[in-house]
Order: sequence, then structure tokens, then C-alpha cells
Amino acid sequence: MIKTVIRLKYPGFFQRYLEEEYLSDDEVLIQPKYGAICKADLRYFYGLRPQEVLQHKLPSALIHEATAIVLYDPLGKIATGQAVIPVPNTPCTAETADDWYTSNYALDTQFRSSGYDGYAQNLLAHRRDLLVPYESSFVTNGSLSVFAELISVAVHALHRALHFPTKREVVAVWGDGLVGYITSLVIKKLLPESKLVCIIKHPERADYFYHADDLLITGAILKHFSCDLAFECVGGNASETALKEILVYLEPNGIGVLTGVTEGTVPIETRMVLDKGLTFLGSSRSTQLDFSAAVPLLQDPWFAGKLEQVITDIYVIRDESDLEKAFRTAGGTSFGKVLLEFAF
Amino acid sequence: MNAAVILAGGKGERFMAAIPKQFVHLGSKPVIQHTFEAFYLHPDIDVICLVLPKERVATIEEKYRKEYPGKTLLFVSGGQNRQESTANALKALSEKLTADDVVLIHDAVRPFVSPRIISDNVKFTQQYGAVDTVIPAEDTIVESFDGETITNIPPRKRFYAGQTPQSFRFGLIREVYAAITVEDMESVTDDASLVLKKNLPVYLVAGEKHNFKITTPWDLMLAEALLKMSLEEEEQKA
Repeated sequence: MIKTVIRLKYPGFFQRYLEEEYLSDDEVLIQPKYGAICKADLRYFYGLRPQEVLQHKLPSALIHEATAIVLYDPLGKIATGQAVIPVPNTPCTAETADDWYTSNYALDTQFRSSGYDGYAQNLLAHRRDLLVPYESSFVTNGSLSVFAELISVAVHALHRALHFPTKREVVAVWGDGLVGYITSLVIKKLLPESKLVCIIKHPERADYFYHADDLLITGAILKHFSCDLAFECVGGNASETALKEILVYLEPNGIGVLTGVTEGTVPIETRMVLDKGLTFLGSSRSTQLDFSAAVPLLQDPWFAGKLEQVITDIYVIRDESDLEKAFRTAGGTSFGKVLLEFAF
Repeated sequence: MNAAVILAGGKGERFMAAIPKQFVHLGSKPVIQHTFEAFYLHPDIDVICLVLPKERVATIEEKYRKEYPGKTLLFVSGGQNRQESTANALKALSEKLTADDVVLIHDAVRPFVSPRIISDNVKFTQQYGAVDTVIPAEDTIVESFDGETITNIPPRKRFYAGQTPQSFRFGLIREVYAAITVEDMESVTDDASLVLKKNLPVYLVAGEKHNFKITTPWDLMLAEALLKMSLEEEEQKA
């Protein structure tokens, strides 16, 4: 079968490609229905990755947050028309749960929309074990399911932290971008006994974080505040400030989870880490297991309502020029999500 | 219920090959198979009727029934011209469709028809009863009665290039074909024209440049080049 792929050829320029698609018995033919633009996609679109990275990875189809429907399963295991969430992280070997967690960080694992085609295509052969079927009628708004990827990333970070024995009376999230927002929602739902504290930078976003038990502004943290578990969801140069605060406010033996991406290096005062016996762990992307854990959250009315609040635009993508417009809008959006409805 | 008719009964005189153009390979498969798969994989399409040269019906039917389960497939012999082929398809479909069902009539030699074009044909036919897939004319249209001098240059913005599918409510196109004349059969080369001759409106659906017709060796060369574009870029990078 012939498919259409819209690839970013150069920063700012999408091009349509027609290709034959081949299907193996391990794969299922899917049609992406909705997608969402994330910061990583925008860094490619605006040419903000190092030049050698851009030269190596482009042309590439962007978008790794998506939902799809099954068009054809050669083994008949998944019904035609079934709604699925495709998992963009593609490990080479993963059979058990432990494998899934270790393979997430294997160097040969491929990630869609980062040098390996993402979901800006009108059909594709996708590994069957990397599809999470879900009941679309349980989700109030079909497009909301594209948040499954972001939710799974937050679930993954939380699960990694909980692998370590630690108190979790006070859990704090630094960052008022979408990763921070969704991580705080996941913690609110999955750790209901914990006190959730959100540390934000922009006071105008305070209303979004109404679900937090306590809301603080970075740089003006209270004297008596401390936390057992801290999630850094800031990224970029601002990570430095967030990490400084996390070192100050983490309780001895506390755990800090790093989820923000920095292109450069960020200084850390190791004396504080040593004095308090802190543990820092990195968390990135997610696995098929985390996506499965994300589905019940999507179907939760309270959670779904919180996701709807952060949708800023929905673009119908009929061709490459529509995709470019959506990316330019997303580039000018300070907080919120630009969704894509694929129709090409 | 929605049905697709894929017209592949032609002899391909303009193609100048030993086999008709719809059976020439494009990439790994014959052109007709790519076109068929576009409709087979589309969730809105329930029935596919392939109109084939008589001598190919049996072999293609055997192959496709084996390889493409799950949808209703019909295999019909083509006629002397396009209208006769369509009439044969409509006759075969009359056992499967009711008057309100939708039928999309598509050239087998347009393998790049997109899911969006198919969806829009179904949606707008349900709404309007008859639609034609078109793209705006990009070149200036020049009219010449004698083939030597320009008679007229009409304003381009009113002109479109017709593609397929052309789609109709089944009851409407069946009635049009029931009343078709010998003159119509000889003079008209597409189904939208037949509907227009009955003074019924035909609405426009946006086509795409990529949905071009593979009629000449040059068209096939272009189609092959499009399919190889990403492979060649990969090789250049390596």
C-alpha cells in the first residue's frame, strides 16, 4: 500500500513523500487520527537542535503524541477500527516488565519523531506489542487521548521514583509547563494521601494548578517548606534555579527526579547532595506499561476535564501547509497544547 | 453502505506497452493493486467492485479474494467504453446497494488517491448526492477551434481539472444510466457529465495534484520517482 508521509525536510519546511509501506506479521497497519505538537518537535521545526543533529536526523516525520485506528492486522488479533494509542518508544528487545524498564534507556532504542519517523503520516505499519487498545467511547473527547503519551511520561517518572524506599508525605513538582502540569495531575490521582506542592514561575498560571494542596512561586519559597520527593519538570537554563531549590528543600534521604531537558550543562552543588544523602534519578520517555497505566486516567472525568483546559487549538491537517501553520501557532503558545486532527 | 467502483477495463492505447497501464508495476505491485488497497483499507468503504478486462477477471478474482478478506468484493468484465464498464459495475452493485447508498467511481490508474479524498467523497455525496473531485487549473486555459490560432482565453479561476473519484447516491446514478442514450455512450467520457446533462447539480470535492492519472510512460516515470524520493535522500545522507 502507498502512504503519505509529511516530513520536516529542513527547519520550517515540511514536504510530502509518497512511499510504499510493507507489513510483517509482527506489525499492524494503523491510521493516525489525532496528534499533538510537543516541545521536542518544535525544537526541530525551529532549528534549535545543534546543526549536526539536524543534518543527521532530518528529513523526519514529527509528532510522537498520537492516537490511531487499526486498519488491518494480518493476524487478526486487533479488530479493524479499534482505537489504539501507539507507543513511540521502540525498544529492540523487551518481553518482561523489567525488560521494558531497562530497554527504555538502552542506547539502541529508537524514538519516533527523533530520527525515526513519527506519526505525521496517513498510515503506517506499527509493532503490535507497541499498541495500546482503548475504548474510545469512554473518553469524553476523542482528541484527548493524544495526552496519553505525556501522561505515560509522568507515570513513568513516578514509578521510577517509587522504586526507591522513600517517604512521600510531601511531593513537590517544580515547573509550570505542560510536563509539570500533567505530572502534578498524575501525582494527585495516584498518590492521593500525599500532600502535593507545585512550585511555579508564572503567577498567571496559578489557576491551572488549583488542584495542588499548596502552590508556591519559585524564588519565594516559604521557610518551613520541605518535601520528600521532588520532580524537576523545568528543563532548559531555568533548571539551574529549580535544582538549587530542590537541593535546599528536599528532606535528607529525599529523591529528586529529573525530567526536564537541557541542551547544555547545569551546575549542581554536590555538597548539598552529599550532606543530605540525596538521590537524583533521570526519567525520560515511557514504555508500553506506562501507556496502559495512562488509559484509566484519560477515562477519569476529573482528569479529562483538566486536560481539556489546556487545549489551545485543534488544527485539521489536510496537507503540509496546514501542518506548518499548526507548528507556527504552537511556537507562539506559551502554555497549552496544539492538537492536530489528521485528514490527509 | 458505501461502494467503490474501480475502472480497470481499459486497453491503454496511449501507454504503448504490451500490457495495459493499470497492470504495469509501480514499485512492488501493479498500479491497480495500489489503487485497490487505498479503498480496501479505507474504513468508510464496504464494497469494492473491480471492472477488469474479461480475460483477467478469473485470475485477479482468485488472488484478491485470498489476499484481501473482510470486505465485499465484486469482479466484473469491462465493456467497450467507460460508460459500458460503469453500467456493468452498477448492475453488479444493484444486488448489494440501496438507493441512498454511496458509490465512488474511480480510475484504476490513480493509485495515489488519498484517504482524505475518499472520506470527502463519501461525506459530500451523502450531503449533496453527486460530487466530482477536482483541482484548480494552474495553467492558463487556451481555446482554439482550428488548432492553429487562439479563439479564446477564458478566466482561469473558473476552471478546474477533473480527477476521480466521481461519486453519487446509488439511486441517482442508476436512474441516469437507465436513461442513457447511444449518443451519450459515444460522446460523454465521464459520469459527472451524464448527471449534468440531466440538469442535476454536481458539487466539487478538493482533489490533490498527487492524485494524477498514470496514462503515459512519462506519468509512470513520475510516479516511480515520487515513490523513490525518500530512499534516494536516505542514500545521499549515508
